[in-house]
Amino acid sequence: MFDLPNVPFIAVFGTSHTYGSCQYNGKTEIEEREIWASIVGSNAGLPVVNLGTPGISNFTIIQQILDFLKIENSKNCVLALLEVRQRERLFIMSADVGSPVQQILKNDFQPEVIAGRYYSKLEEFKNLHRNSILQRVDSSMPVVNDVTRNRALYDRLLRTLAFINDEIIPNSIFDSLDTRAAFEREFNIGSISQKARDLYHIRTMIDILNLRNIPSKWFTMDLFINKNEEEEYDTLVRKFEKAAGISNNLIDGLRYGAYQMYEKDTKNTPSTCDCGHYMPDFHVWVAEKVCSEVKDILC
Amino acid sequence: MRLKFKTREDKLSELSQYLPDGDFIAVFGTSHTSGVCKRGDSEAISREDIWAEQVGAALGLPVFNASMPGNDNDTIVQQMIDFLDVPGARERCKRVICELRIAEGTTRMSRDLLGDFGVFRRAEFVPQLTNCYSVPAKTVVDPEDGGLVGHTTITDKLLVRLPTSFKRQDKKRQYQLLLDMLPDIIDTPAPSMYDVVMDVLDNFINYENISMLPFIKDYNFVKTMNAIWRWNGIPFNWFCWDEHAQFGDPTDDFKVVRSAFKQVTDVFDTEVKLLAGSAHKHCSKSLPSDTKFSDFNCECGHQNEVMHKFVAEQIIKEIQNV
Repeated sequence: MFDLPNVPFIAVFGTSHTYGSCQYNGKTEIEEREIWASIVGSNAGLPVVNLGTPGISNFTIIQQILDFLKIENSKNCVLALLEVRQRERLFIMSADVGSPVQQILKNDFQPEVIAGRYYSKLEEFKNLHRNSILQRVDSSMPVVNDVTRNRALYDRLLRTLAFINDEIIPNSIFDSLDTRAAFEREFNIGSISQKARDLYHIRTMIDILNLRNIPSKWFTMDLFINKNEEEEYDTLVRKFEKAAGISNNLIDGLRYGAYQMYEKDTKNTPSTCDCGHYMPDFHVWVAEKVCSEVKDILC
Repeated sequence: MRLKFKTREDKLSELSQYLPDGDFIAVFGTSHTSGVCKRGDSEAISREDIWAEQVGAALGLPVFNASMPGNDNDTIVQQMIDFLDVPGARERCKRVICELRIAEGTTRMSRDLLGDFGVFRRAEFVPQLTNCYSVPAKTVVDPEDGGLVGHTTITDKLLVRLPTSFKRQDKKRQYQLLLDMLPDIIDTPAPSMYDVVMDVLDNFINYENISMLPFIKDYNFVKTMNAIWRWNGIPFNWFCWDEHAQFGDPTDDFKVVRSAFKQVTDVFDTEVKLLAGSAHKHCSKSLPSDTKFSDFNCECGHQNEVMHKFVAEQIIKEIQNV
């Protein structure tokens, strides 16, 4: 069931950006061929296994990679591209805060990799009552300072995650989530530890892929740093290079986040859709940057 | 004389001097595996009484003890990655046993909230393995190697472990414990520090500790560890010393999560079966009716030589059966 191409291919792990989420003109996604990963594959003449998953955390990407590597044909993977999160204003919400965890009993559990675009688009996986554990229990929640917007999102995600249909979700649950969001906003977002933890998770991804002799490159779509924080960020990455050795795998052309580098390069702001994701022209730009730095690996 | 900072490779080569000669076993873990046990003016039990040393003696192999008081599973994964890059480790390590945390009521606080980034910048960072039990070099300053302020790991510099059970302790003691954890960051704590920390603790008690998320996170760490060792061809086992949620009967929620992980992962394939769930609980059950488990507790809440002996015996039995 968990087939992968039996010819050399590129594997891509990432968030909703890599999944292709984008609400515009009545659509919810951009076309497969418009996603940056597909463009990289097309330029390299290689098929792409796109495991991008909306709402995924770095922690869960590690688990996806582990599942992926257990599949026989993962040995045909010649390059892994990692579109990871860094310093994002998110926290992981546990759906069982909103409902009894027994709800997840209804599921036929599958490896974490099932949540990725590649499998979710396959006919045999569509509309089946199959979920991964983390899909069922956690979801990344934004911590923007807008309680009304947050609550609407909590409501939607809780209903999706926990099969709550017409029931009224108790206010105490929203209060708990509001408190958590405020905590993340005030406490973790401003600290270095969040960045350090992200870099450690990226390191784990690289190392696990290395163990299976798969080269990898990583970048961040939106890295939330201000221009005056770039020096601090560079210091942190250099420290990690000394202690953990990961910056060789960073796509340098997207060093401060694809969004920020696009602004620097073009003096323009990338155009976004109704849900804050990027339009196809930005995907083309990202793909060019990635292609220019993975040539050596693919040649 | 001009100095230069050492590379990661230089540091890893240095660490190799702490590996035992010839074949050995490696253990990773928390304060329990470091033998921490305060009684009067004694801070820890003897090295030979630590469970890991007893297992090593039974197997006829020396032990590289990579445990660290206050360690967490996230950091243990990083220690493991560093360990495998130490010259000779991959070839000579014949078995790994990990004492890890499952769903413990703790959170991590970032020290840079209380100090500034400058403190972080001045440190020379070294692999995460540097400050474990077997490598007594946590803050050695050696001008010869270009270390301007001493060596420290990133996690050491940033994270303070806050047991959420602090809530149950009196406030004065709680505050003192926090100050003890922050000696190199701040001279005078900001007046608001106490409030910040209490907010953190409240948040975790109200939110994370009531959900199954801590179990899910920790089981996924085990999944990561399993892969690291399997793909390096080194046998690996793990156990949890005192899984708090396992002290009583497992809840229905816990059974569901455990069942889900059993369906789709190899997490429990490598658990030490004779200590499954909680070593603490197994030890407690094994005692004669006239003996209380609390007799083995020390002043800092760890357990003495009796518990270490029990843990070692179970692990030895299981390995010998294999």
